[in-house]
Amino acid sequence: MNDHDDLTPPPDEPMPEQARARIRADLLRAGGTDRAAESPWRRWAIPGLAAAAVLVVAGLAGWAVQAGDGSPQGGPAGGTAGSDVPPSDLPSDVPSDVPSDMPSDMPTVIPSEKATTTLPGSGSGTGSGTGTVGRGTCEEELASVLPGAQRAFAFPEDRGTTSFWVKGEQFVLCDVRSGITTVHQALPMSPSLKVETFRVSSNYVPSQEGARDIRVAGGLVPQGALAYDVSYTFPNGHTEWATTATDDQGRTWWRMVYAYPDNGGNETNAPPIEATLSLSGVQKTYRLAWGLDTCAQANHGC
Amino acid sequence: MAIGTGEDDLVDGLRRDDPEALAALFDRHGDRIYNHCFRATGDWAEAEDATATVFLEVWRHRSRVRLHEGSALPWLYGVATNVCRNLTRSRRRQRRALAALPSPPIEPDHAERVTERVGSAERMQAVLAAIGDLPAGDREVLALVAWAGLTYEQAAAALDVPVGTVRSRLSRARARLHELTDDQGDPS
Repeated sequence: MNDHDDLTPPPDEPMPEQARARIRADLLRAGGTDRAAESPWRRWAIPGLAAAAVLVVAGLAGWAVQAGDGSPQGGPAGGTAGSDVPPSDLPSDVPSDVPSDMPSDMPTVIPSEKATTTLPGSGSGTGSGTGTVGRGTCEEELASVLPGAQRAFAFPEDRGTTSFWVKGEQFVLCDVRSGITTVHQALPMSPSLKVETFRVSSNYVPSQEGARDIRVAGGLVPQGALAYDVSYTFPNGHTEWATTATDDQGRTWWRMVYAYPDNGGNETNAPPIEATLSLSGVQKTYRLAWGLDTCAQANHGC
Repeated sequence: MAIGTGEDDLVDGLRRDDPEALAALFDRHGDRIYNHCFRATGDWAEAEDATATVFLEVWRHRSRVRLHEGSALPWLYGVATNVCRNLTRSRRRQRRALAALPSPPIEPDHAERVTERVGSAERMQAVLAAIGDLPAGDREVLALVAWAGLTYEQAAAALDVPVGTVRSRLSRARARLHELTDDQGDPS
């Protein structure tokens, strides 16, 4: 081959250091996320079981005290975790198209709203009014992501709210749903046609009806783009189309929200979520790498 | 984790779900896969994305990593070949549509470096265009043996085909290249 100068490829080049560092960090993150995600509900079962143990002990102690008082109401009835969480405290504002055949092996101890604030991860949210990440307002939560960003547009409320915040040449998406405020990583106002543009945030929401995964994505439609449609196909075969809306400055935003039952197991063994961009009738599909492209949030863990 | 020098250790680490083993594999072979992906796509940015995808695929399929004579590299080249094949399949069609969009802002870099990389990308795209009518299997053998420097046996392991198939595909590809260069040198 080398004797054909005209058809000899250029010499090898080292990968740019910035790209090398980014990919290496992404690989470590994806590997760590993958291991952490092997059974999503375990993240909740462990603190849930710990909470249950505390409540059982407290209940037994209370029962013992009350029994000592001769109270007729003495007993551990109030000590079970299940009855400690009134149904009204459970998330109820996620889409209701969840089939009734939810797995029956979900933990019977359902974490309270307060327990769900201790989301695992490296979130750096600082402004939450409750002092926990993912519980503040959008303004508070995005302070550590894109400080000073101004609200540019919000989609009409639909079991939650999705708004877009702009500062200079960057924007962030903020989604408030099931009591969790999720701020995505900042993206450029001139969207690149790379998988980063189509990453989804993931929130695991336990409830009495069964755990659900909520995936959210959104962004800005490039100026001049015609027939720009985005859809996501999930491992369960469902395809969710993004909706679009135009703000008062003429910018068009797209947003996709989909919630579905979490049936446990290792999601990384499932087929990847696929984002399909249709632009002027030409389609491009992005396969979202589990962990890397399914954890778009910046203010709390997945 | 302590990573030894042998790739057996790295593969064992992968099978124990250790992401550090993945990072070590990337440190060792990332550049070679990056250049292989560049030679498949003719685009440095796509080569970066493809390289990341290759190693994520390695992680996803870590229980199936195979060693060839103690090295994971042929298997990595096989994964990379599959990733880049999918990447390039509909790229030409997409580019026509995407050309109508405004270009993304160019990140600051040294101008000379940018010029070099643009030049090498153009050259690679010319090479790819010239061999575009070769069957995909022949092009892949050419990329692995002639450009990446794999032995016939390693290329066979990478593509999961017999060594004889590698030889015949390479022979066909080289014959075609001779025709091409003869055509280019023919003034008529």
